[in-house]
Amino acid sequence: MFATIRKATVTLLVLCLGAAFAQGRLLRLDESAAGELDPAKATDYADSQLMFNVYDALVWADSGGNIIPHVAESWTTSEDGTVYTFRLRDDVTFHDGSRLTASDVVFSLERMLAIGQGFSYLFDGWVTSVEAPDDTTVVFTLSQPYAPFLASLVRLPIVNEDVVRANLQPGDFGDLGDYGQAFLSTNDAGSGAYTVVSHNPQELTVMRRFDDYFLGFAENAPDEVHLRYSLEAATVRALMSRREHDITSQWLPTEVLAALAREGFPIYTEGGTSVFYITLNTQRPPTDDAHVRRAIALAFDYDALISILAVTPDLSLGQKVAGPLPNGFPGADPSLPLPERDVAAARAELAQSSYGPSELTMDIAWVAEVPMEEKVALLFQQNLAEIGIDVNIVRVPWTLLTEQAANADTTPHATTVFVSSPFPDPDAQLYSMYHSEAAGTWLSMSWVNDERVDALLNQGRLETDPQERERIYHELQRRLLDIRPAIFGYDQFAAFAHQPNVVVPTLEDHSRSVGGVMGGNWLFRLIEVRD
Amino acid sequence: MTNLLSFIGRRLLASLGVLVGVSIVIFVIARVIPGDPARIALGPMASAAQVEALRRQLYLDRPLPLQYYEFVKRSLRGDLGVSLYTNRPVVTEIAQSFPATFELMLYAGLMMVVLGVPVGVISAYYRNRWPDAAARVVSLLGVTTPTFVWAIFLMLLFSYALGWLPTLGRLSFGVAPPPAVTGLYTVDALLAGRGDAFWDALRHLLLPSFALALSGLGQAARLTRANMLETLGKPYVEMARAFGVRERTVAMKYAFRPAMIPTLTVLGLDFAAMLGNAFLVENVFGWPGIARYAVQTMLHKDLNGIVGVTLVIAAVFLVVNLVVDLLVGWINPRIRFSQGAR
Repeated sequence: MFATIRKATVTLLVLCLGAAFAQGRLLRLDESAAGELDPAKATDYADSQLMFNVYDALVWADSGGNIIPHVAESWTTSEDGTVYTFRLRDDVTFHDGSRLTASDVVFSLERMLAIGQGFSYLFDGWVTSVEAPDDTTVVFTLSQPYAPFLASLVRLPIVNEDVVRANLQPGDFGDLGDYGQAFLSTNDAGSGAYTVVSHNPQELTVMRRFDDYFLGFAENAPDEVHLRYSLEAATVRALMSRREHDITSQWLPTEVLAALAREGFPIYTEGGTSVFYITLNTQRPPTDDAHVRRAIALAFDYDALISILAVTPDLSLGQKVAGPLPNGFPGADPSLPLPERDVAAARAELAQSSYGPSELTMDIAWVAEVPMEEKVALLFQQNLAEIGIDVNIVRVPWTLLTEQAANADTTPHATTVFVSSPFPDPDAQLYSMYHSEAAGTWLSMSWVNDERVDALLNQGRLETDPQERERIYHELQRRLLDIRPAIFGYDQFAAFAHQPNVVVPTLEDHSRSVGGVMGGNWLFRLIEVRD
Repeated sequence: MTNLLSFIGRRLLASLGVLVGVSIVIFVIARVIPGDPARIALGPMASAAQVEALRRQLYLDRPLPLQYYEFVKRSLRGDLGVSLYTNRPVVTEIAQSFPATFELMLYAGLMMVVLGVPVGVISAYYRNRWPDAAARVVSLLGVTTPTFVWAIFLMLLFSYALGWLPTLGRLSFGVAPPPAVTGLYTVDALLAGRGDAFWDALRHLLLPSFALALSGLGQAARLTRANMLETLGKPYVEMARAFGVRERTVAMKYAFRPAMIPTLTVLGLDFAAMLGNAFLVENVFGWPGIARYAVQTMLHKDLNGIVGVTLVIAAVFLVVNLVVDLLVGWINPRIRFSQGAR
């Protein structure tokens, strides 16, 4: 009898171990839907996670946000800054085993520009031609010097031209049909460390390790990755407790995050790419007066804001930020002081404004889909009441806000908003937010129309000398602090609870974090899923 | 038989008219919701030229009637456009997500009938005794507690605390989906002779479908009880009793069948409404269904997606209504006759 039980137990154990071995190391994480797999259409965090693991770009960023070689092993720039010549590695292969060549790079850029979505705006209007004189050389010619070009190449994933051409569907692009859009919406044509096994943009993407990847893998890198989309917070908590999920998304309510922390799950934080702003509309009274805006910035309680973000006594979802760029972001001025509340100075500043006490009324809009912003709006209202500004709080759905932001007259006086940087360059964030020509979107709800700001932003784009560029952006930040188009609230920390056996080196050690690239810390090949 | 076919034909024709009406209304509503769909889809950094190009591609630069004409032309070819939310054809999204929700609805509907109706019958049969009191409390709880509360409670109890049932999705990791025939995993698994997949899919269905069913289940129990009580007081029931017919036969044969007519009508509407109401349940259990997709299309102002899912929901309502009418006609010959005579 006992022998039978023992034999059955051993058999069961062997079967279980066999199953575990067959499955290999599995990493399960989640993000907000929808996951866009086509690299020419990718824009947000989940899309970036897919993009950086399934595809490769010519260049990558290091922890300081400096651009380093990736598929390109070297490059040169012409003296006038308009011609970039890249020399490609010859050992990069696509998932079908074919070699990645320069013509694939040309095809990828042409495809992205033709489709006109995703990050195509980074190249549209700047790149006049892209050529492949041989298999390992790519030459980009720009219409004029454009300093952010090199950094923006982080967002040019290279697709396998042959695979795309073999999977064209009827479409609007002549001989190129749909340019492979239907195919690439559920399949991959990349060279990245992981291949796509299946993809449903609302539910789950399953990726499997590509063993021939040219940069190799960490010792305990996952064999399979499941990226789940839009899980409910309560579900994530249950899954984590049952060890059926490895890393949570950054979108968990702080209460759930705190509960997970109490249960003993370690928490990773990721900063340096996103800033929380309260934009101030510089075109509508009374916030069209710089004195009023400065008074608002001085009256705001930054310490209270940071305390709102506390998850546990040791963990906060943000830290103070000195200016419009995240701390440590390329181009950020480290000499700027962190903001402090000074009510007396705020009153003095307000006294210089052209508006009388009865005219000091304004709205603050918070995004209905982000409940935490209501707390900020309440803090704002309370702080400004102390200096005699009457604030009305308005809850605005996101789609309505995007419409209001299209016009200065309908843009709220103040709006709470998060802005992330897609690639490591100050231009990525500042131009869209503060150049007068970029006005009319939710990024530019300050409606800045300042000659000096425009001039500095234009110079920053054209200047190719790094030191001079840095000086330009430092001056720009001081100018922005002077005209105060926004309260620069905090440098946002995204927080991720994880299983203790899962180690993300770029988040474990912040000195190894990828600087200024949204989603850039999620290279699955470097993540360890320990036993 | 001819009468029945003619009735179904007329109803289907009328349904087509309703669908056209719904498509016009939702087409206009989707376009007057605030926000430029092209700008939302492309993001704030896209250039004005890119936004304009997408607007042209979506025919948003044309007058509304022309936009609708283009929509009808494409729809007749089976093309509902590309979803701005997922960048995939709306037809693909619907084809992929509808079976998941429909399977959930079927099991929830089954629970509503198999559990709700007997509870109502027992409640009426034991009127004002403890089984009645217990059944009324349970059904009241089902009706008054929001579905998402049930969903979270059931998940925390049976999945998190007890660990009896799975938390997420339609199948466990490692269980391959059965070959798609109907899109309903339990049915497809049986067709493929895959017992493992059937059992796993069933386990995944239990909690979400029960959470979804609870409100309708309570409703079914309360309605059945009320209608049974009303019927049990009718003279022909008294007469049956006077003739010495057994009490159980009186209840099941003379009272239950007529009592089911109003219950069935309400259950039918409840069943169809689950298609939209499943959103919160789908969210809690990570169920890749059409209700979740529908809400996201609205939040993202996905014009094509909104119209597509609304048409599907309207079509389901129409089909369910037709089925309920046929069932009611089958139960009550007088209604059947009046249908044929129209």
